[in-house]
This record gives sequence, structure tokens and C-alpha cells, in this order.
Amino acid sequence: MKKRLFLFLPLTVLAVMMVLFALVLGQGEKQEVSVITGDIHIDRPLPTLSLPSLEGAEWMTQAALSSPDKIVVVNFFASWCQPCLIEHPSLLKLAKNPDIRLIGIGWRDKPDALRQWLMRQGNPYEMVFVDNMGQSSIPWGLSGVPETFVIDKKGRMRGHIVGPVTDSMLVEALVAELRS
Amino acid sequence: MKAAGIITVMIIMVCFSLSAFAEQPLADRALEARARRMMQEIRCVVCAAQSVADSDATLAGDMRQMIRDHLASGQPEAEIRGYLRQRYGDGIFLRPGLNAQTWLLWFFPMLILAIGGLVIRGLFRQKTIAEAADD
Repeated sequence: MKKRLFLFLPLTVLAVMMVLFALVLGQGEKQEVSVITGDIHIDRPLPTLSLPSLEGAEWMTQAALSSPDKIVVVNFFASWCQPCLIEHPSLLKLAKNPDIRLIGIGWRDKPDALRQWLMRQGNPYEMVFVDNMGQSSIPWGLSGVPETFVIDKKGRMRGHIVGPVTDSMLVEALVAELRS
Repeated sequence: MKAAGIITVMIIMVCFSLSAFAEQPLADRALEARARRMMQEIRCVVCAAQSVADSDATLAGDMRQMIRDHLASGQPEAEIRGYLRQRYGDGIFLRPGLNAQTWLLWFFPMLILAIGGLVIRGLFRQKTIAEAADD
């Protein structure tokens, strides 16, 4: 009997591990907006970084990224990025939401290529800024494109999506929560 | 002979063009050594199994440059690590520090080893008792 118990010990440990991991993963799902939040970016102040706009007339400053009456959604994209094509219909939907100010940052891309890509695919952004050298990568904590950040009225990051925004509802749910 | 000359010129041109893309190490050798040691500790966020020192990813190149720039400006290593941790979390380090989020990562292998050891010891003990009883 004792021998059997010993043999079952590794299986018991494995089961405990599985339950523990399931609990930790489940915690994320329970929180309403954790699908796009719940990481180290949340509640972090915005990076201080200045980027030129696609039209060259304005510069992206912290003031451009905060709005007293709208939730700012910053989307990093590139004309060479295939997953950006996947999320583009969702962004076009988000652009119609009057509570959202959608800002695009063309990452490691040239202004001409960005302009042509936006003409072809449709421009969902209120403003587009250009980071052709990728200097925003580390200050924003990027690991590539597309990545999206949700910024509240106080100018703090409240949501982060790594990869394509395939469901605009997720962002809209977070925006509604932040507005309320 | 003429062809050999053309090939030589081409090789020299390729070498020069490659050197334009090469990263510039810090002039201070001791500082460059510290930078390289730090680069070995930082995980590449694009190819997670590699350090930024070993990765060819553009973002890893950006991180190498950032480490060199910050060290050259006199920033302490702890501050640079803190800056990266704030943006990428503990996962940015190949050897994450021991804290409330990472304790399981550090001690779980030891726990498993200890349990495995107990199981083997128990099995041997039972076998010895069974053999003694047979004798």
C-alpha cells in the first residue's frame, strides 16, 4: 500500500502543478479586461519621446497622447507588417467610436511607404507619427508590431495588446470601463 | 590577372560596406566589457531563447546600443536593469531575480528533485525490507 502511495506521489505533484497553473491562468480570464491588460505596462506613465507626424507638421509629445474627453488608443504598425493587415478591419471599426482617439505610429517604416499603405487599406487614425529608426521600441516596451496601448484621460497606460487587435469589442469594452 | 584585380576590389568594397553596419564598441575597454556582460544577461524579446548579445534581431541591436549609451552616460547597471524590468518585466532577464513572482520558478526544480529523491529512497527501502523478509 505504501509503495503504491509513493508511486502516486509524482502524479500528485503533477496534478497539483496543473491545478496551480490553471488557477493562475484562470485569474486573468476572470478580470473583465485582463485579456488586454494584466501586464507590466499597466498604470505606467507614458514614455517621453518626440516623433514627427506623417505630414511633418506636428510632433508627438505626451500632450498629443492624452485627451481630456477621449480615451487614446495608440497602435504601432508598419506597411511591411503582415499581421497589421489582419487587425486593420478592427481598427477601422474602432475609429468610428466617438470615445476613442486612435493614434498610429508607423514603426521602422518610411513615410512614403506608410502613406501608400494607408491609402490602399484606409486610414483609421486621427493622427499618424513616424518612427523610422525604431527609437520608440524600448521606451514603450515593444517586442514588434502590431502592438496597441490604451491610455486613460490622466495619460496613463491602462491596456496593452501584443499582436493584432482581432476583436475591436475588447478595446471598446476597456474604453467604456475607463470612461465610466 | 585583370579578373583577380576586379575580385579583390569587390571583396574590399564588401568589407567596407559591412563595416558600416557593424556596431561600434565603446572606446573604454572596461566599460565595453561591462556592457557585454550585461548584454549576456538580457533576453532578446524577439527570439526568447537568446541573449541580446547573441541575437541578430534588430530589437536586440537596439538594446545593445541602449546598454552602451546608458553605461557611457554613467548610469549604474542596476538602474539600467530597473529601466528594462519596468518595460518588459522579469522575463527580460535570462536569470530573473528572486521575488514574489519568481520564487516558484527558482525553487520548483529543487522541490521536484527532493520529492523524486524521497520516492526513490522509499522504493529502495521497501525493496530492502521485502528482500530481508524473503531471506
